[in-house]
Amino acid sequence: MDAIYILIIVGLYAVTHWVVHAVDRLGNIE
Amino acid sequence: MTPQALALLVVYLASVLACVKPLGRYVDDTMQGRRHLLTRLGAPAENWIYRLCGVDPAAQMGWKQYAIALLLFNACGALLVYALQRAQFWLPLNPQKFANVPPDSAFNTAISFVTNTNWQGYSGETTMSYLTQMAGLAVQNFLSAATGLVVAIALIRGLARHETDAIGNFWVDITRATLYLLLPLALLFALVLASQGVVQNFSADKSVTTIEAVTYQQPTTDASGRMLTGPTGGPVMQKVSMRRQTLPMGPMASQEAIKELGTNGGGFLNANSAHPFENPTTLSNFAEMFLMLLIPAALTYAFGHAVGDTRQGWALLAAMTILFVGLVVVATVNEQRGNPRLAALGVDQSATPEQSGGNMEGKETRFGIAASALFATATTGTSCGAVNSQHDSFTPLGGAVPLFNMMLGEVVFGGVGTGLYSMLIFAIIGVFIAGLMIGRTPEYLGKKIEAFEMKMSAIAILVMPIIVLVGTAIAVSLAAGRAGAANPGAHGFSEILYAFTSAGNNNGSAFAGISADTPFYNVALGLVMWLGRYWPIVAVLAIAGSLAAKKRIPVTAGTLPTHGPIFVVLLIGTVLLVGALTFVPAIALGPIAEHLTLWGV
Repeated sequence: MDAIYILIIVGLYAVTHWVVHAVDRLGNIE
Repeated sequence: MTPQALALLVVYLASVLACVKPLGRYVDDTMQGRRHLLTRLGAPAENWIYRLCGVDPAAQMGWKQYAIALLLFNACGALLVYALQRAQFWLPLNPQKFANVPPDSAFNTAISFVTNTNWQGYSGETTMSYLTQMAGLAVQNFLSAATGLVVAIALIRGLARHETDAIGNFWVDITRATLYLLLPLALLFALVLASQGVVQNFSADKSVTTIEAVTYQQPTTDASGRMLTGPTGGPVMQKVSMRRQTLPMGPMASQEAIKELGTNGGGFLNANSAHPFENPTTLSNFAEMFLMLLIPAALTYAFGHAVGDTRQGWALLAAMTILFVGLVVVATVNEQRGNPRLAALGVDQSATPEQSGGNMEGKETRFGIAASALFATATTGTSCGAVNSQHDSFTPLGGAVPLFNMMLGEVVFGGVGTGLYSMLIFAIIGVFIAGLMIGRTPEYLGKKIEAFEMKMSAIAILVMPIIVLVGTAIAVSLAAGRAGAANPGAHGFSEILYAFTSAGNNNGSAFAGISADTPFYNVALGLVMWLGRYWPIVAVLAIAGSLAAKKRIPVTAGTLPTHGPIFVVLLIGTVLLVGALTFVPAIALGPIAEHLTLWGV
């Protein structure tokens, strides 16, 4: 069970990290 | 409102507002790296931290680098708090020999404290070791508050600087915020609270014999402390008769001070600030309420000072104060009116010198109506979430105030940092709306507000309503979601809506009726807390970076003044319209339906 919850935390970080890059790309386009 | 309630509100606001200028100036000086007594004294410690962590304090970051550093720091914090809970049985400072926290509850609590939400599905005094409370939860109380603060400071820099990519250094900012602002104030107020009788020790809980036997019903729990549910999904109740009472002990005062100062709200004890060991006197209660608003209010002045026009900060403070007073009045008046069902039974609910009167269900007699309604408004206007009364027992409209406060995005006065940056987002939306009305490119503090800033503002504003409303809809659609609510109908809906609103806004207060320590709520609310915290932060930092890169344009006759009464009205209107329009249908299904039912309208 621990592995699942640790993966969820890491996954949340990874997705939000991706959002940072996506927003940055959007800013560069504009 | 009673004269006593009015006097309390006036004294309270006067106390907070008196500190806005000196503390705001102090915050700005500290965060901009100007030298003062505390920074001189703390310089060796600060430099040691930088050397230990390999940080170059002179290096500047762009918004993207700043955001990634922030995210990484917080994700590591979540993993550490999770690990600490899962290993507490084998670690020191666990005199009660508490078992390791179940995985789903540990996940929820880790996310909760890292995101400054401090939603508590567990009962602190029966779940968490002293080490977990201090090294896990209290540490995150400091760091999560500092995280919110540095985002606001980064946005301020974005507005104050021009033609640069740099919005500061995350590691330097978080060190300074913790070392020079949060730690000294928390230490000072921990002593104040301890002087009022808030417990501060490392003793094991004490067991005493009561004068009379107490008989009551309580939910049955399994060996890990989780509530058992019956075939209908409700809790399995058992009758208990007790002549022994356990008095919880522990390092409470030190956690209590930062709990309010950092607008965290996570109590050492399950009853939070309603418990006499956390909040024993009217003076301790006043101090706790004072701490909640102290930094969020002061940050408005810090903002004005940093951008070189303190009137800009006063305008934001005026908007916050007007909204706050209105909400306090609504909450207090509705709680003082009492409950018509009790009135029909002949219960005297009038305010007299001997009693507070009004709806005292779920409130402490030492606080009464005025201090309970004021506390509830302050704790939900900020992102604190501490409670000194059970919001579930408020009248429908009185309870709608904390709910609505959170739905506004917690800008009255908001959490540490989050209140200011959320209000600045509303200010940007406000000038955009004004620009549309007069057909002119909107600008704020000499910066043109263009498509990218508006897209990011829309993300920052819309993430919260989306996760709250979708989360609530999913919860009421699933048996696992409905099982947590202790009441049927509109009130049960309010309990679920309140839980997701509290989590999505990183508030953490609860409508006490809901049983949220279930895998469904632990996971669902954990996800909502994370998204509600960091996605808007990414958008805010992107705005900071974009604004910092812009040229400053001169003020002309066509520039909308953002320091006067017209702008204050525009800002209040924007906050209310966005909050009201998004959530009115949900509020109508919950508190308003319940109010109409209760009063037989």
